[in-house]
Amino acid sequence: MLIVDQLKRGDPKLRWLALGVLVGMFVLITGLWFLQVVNYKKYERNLIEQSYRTVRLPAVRGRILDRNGVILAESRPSYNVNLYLEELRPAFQQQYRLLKSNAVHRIELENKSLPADKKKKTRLTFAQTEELGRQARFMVANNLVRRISESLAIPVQLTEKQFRKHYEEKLSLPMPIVENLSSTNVARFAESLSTLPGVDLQVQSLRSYPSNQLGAHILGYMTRTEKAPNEEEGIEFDYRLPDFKGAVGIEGAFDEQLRGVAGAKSLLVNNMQYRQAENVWLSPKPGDDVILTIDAQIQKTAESSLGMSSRGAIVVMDVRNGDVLAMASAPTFDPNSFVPTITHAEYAKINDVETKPMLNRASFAIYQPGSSFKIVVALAALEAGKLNPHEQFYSKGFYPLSSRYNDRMDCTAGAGYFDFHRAFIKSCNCYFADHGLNTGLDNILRMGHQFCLGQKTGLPTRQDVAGYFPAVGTRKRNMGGAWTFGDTANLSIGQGDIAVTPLQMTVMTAAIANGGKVFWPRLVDRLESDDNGFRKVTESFPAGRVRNELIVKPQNLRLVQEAMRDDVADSEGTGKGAAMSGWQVCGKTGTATVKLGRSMETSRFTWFVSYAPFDSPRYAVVAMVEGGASGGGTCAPMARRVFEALQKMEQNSRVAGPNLVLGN
Amino acid sequence: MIGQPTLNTREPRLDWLMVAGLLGLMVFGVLFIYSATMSREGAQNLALWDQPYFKQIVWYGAGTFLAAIVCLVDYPILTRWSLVGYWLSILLLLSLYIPGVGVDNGWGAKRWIKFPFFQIQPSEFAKLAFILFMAHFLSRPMDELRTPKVFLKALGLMMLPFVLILKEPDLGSALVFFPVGLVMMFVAGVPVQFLRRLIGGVTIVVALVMVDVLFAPKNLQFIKLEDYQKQRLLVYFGLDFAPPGATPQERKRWADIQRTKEYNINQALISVGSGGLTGKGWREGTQNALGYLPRTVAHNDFIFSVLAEESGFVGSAIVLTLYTLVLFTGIRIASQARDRLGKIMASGVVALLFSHVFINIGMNIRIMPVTGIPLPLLSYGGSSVLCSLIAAGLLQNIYIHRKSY
Repeated sequence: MLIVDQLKRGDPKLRWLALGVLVGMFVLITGLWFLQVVNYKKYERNLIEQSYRTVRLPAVRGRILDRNGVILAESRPSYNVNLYLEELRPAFQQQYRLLKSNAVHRIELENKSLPADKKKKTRLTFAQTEELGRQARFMVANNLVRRISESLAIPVQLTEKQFRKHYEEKLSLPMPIVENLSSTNVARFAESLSTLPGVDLQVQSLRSYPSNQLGAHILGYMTRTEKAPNEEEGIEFDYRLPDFKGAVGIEGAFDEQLRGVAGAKSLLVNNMQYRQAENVWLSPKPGDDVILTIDAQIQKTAESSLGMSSRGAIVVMDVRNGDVLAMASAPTFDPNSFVPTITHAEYAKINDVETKPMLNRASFAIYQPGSSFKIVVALAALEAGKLNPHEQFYSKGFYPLSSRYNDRMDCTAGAGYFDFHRAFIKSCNCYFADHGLNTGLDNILRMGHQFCLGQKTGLPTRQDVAGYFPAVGTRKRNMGGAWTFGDTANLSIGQGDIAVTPLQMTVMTAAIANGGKVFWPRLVDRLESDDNGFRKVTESFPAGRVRNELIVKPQNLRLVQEAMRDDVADSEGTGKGAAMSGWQVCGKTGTATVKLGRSMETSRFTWFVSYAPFDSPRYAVVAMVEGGASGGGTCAPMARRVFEALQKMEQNSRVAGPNLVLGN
Repeated sequence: MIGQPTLNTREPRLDWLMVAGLLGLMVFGVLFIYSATMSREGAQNLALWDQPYFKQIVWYGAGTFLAAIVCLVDYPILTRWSLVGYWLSILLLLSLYIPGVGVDNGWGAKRWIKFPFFQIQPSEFAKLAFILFMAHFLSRPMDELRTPKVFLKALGLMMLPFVLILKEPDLGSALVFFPVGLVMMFVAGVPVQFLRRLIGGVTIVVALVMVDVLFAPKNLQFIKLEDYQKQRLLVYFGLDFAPPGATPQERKRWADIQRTKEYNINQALISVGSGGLTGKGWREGTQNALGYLPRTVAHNDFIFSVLAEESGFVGSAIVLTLYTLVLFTGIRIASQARDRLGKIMASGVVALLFSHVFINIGMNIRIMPVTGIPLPLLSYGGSSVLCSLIAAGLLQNIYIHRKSY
């Protein structure tokens, strides 16, 4: 080296000095090499850890549509007023300076009256300045909140605790002040508040059900969630934006598909944790749309037929393929009330223990089917050869169940002679009890199992119960005790050890109508995603999945079908309330009397199971009302209104073609 | 020119290699003071003459001017006034203890004297005055240097400003006097056994002080360091703040304090380390821009962290090379000096600059404890810049009046 060479002539002491300098510089450069080159990754990681925050961005939730494209659930933009604290820093500082000078001034004033040796220090301690800073920040924020509250005429309270929590835990995120602004308030905001520093509107996607309570039990509802299921493994989020998850129904069952994939953004924060910049590095992927087999118009009719005041259910099914066209349950609720948060009063109302509006009575509640079960008993007896349809049977008007006088089954059909046809349309209990006993318990149970009673219907909505239907060969009551012939008689008229859902009865009715095909009911047709404007089917659920084919003689089935037709058509029939012009409706009424608990109080489940038209069956309608007057009086007219709507729907689609979209 | 021209006209008047090194450092200084300060909120709103980088340029100009003046006077004549300079600097240091004169700038240590438009740090000038006077003192005949009396006198000269600065308190600046004094005595020819004893003694004393400060229980601590000094040492040695036998609550409180005290150095390490090989680019350093590297020190004591983050290992190495260039040309000047006075003085200046560079960069990369030692020419600050440039002027002075071959 040039310089060192020249030193050789100089004295050794300077060479020692040169060596010392060289060693020192070598130590430094080695240190730098280790830091900047060898351990670079470690320090970069530290840097990222301390200056980046990852925020989860919820994706726009997919819609739920009916079979014709009518929107049942969608995501609408909701406007929230947020405080952006990083923009308020100058105001914070100004306020702090003011507070500080006031505090110092106060001490100086006090000092004036004090002797020189007792004067307090005008310099504030660290803790005091901290406290002043806290006060200043809260005052600035609180003033803004008050202004927002006045301008929008919405009472908003910001507590110091709330503010401090946000400031300390998620300073880099905007602080929500008012959520879900009405459109008038959005206008008011734009007029008077948008120029305020640090205050801005933020758009959030919220769930909305445009038809309010329509199909509420099918759709389900949303609940607020802080933790999403571990969908995005590998990403550790520092913050999550408020998100919702589907609780039950389609929202719950298809939550994953509807939710889409959340995105992520990183916030660059400074040493005070204020936000400096942000960068969306993973855009959220919108969720899929779920297209139901439901027809909104039919659903609407079913719901209005039930009425809000009754407790019951109506299920409408296409008997040709098992598609559920409507599934109504009353009383119902408005899933909109869960978004963004449900009030306590609302929550109490929809969780009423008496009426249970949240309960999906169509598929999630079980009832004794009453006389509507006689369809199964008749088929079993016919198949077993124990029932001659033309043979006359004398009914005394009651049926003795034991030698004790009071232990007998009443019959509303009255005393007299009954053949099968008359017994069916007048729903004679004695006839069916007698023939049920002749047929034998196991034959009835075998027939019931052919209809898959006592088994879940495989609804995806989780609102699916198996109900109860005894196993073949059972000799024990479900409630305990040995099986008696009285139990068999009771079962023959759809009471006692049997509990079904209206949906199960619909599947059964549809199987009678279509000549013996027991379908898996289908509620969801397909999932669709929007791929740059192109609709893409991501998953489809095949229609007409046959679960079981009835092993019955066609002529026996025909006998039952004709009996059902006459139950409506005959002037003596219990179901004549369902008669309508144009279509021959086939039906069977049912009224099950049940004891409520251990008390002597009784309640009635009234039924009407039906399908139409007789000559080319297309639709099954099952109506069930808790506490109704009678199956024929209460439920048959409901079914008729639904059939009329179905008829109208068919006429409309014949006019407009098959792809008619039902509006509104 | 008062001195006899000792050069023939063909030989260079100035050591241009050193000038180039100094210029390079000044360019780095302006660039990174700009980068370190312009990210602050409201920095752009300041008037140009209030911008730190502009002030630094002004200081560079003033320093160069002073250095030129220093070059005009032959250094033996300068040293005749060194006695006055030395005592004047001692007076300045003493004046810090007069209430109202010393200013602490919010740091808790009174190190500055405030003037209407600027403030000076007397300790910086005391270092220069000490070098001049020490060189003058040590340039006596070699025989005298071998007497313990002269050695002790030299030691006394060193101890006086050392103690005064130590009491400010400014441990870092005070400690710089040791290597400078040692190197000057070594080069002057003070017997090595004296120096060995001195080093040995100092080592033992320092070791005892360390043990006392760091490990002794409270009632046995004879050396009273300021709390922050003790804590800096604890941080440097990676020791727990909490005294032995502390309750869990106390322990937690100490841990919190420790985290804040370690904050600066940890952030400096992250800055330097995350710079990587080539750095993030000028004004792209997030550590400084986001305030993790405290704004109050980013442009002065920790300017090297900013530089290392933004220019990476390459930039750091270039800066180290520039310093090495200046230091080695300084040593070359010492070897070419006309007399012992020049040689001793030059080596003193080299030792001073080297100590600053080593301690400051060492503190940025955690091989030295944190002290308030500025990085010559790169750190923002008038006193430091003026002293560094005057020191460089002294070297050039010795070069101008060197031996002619």
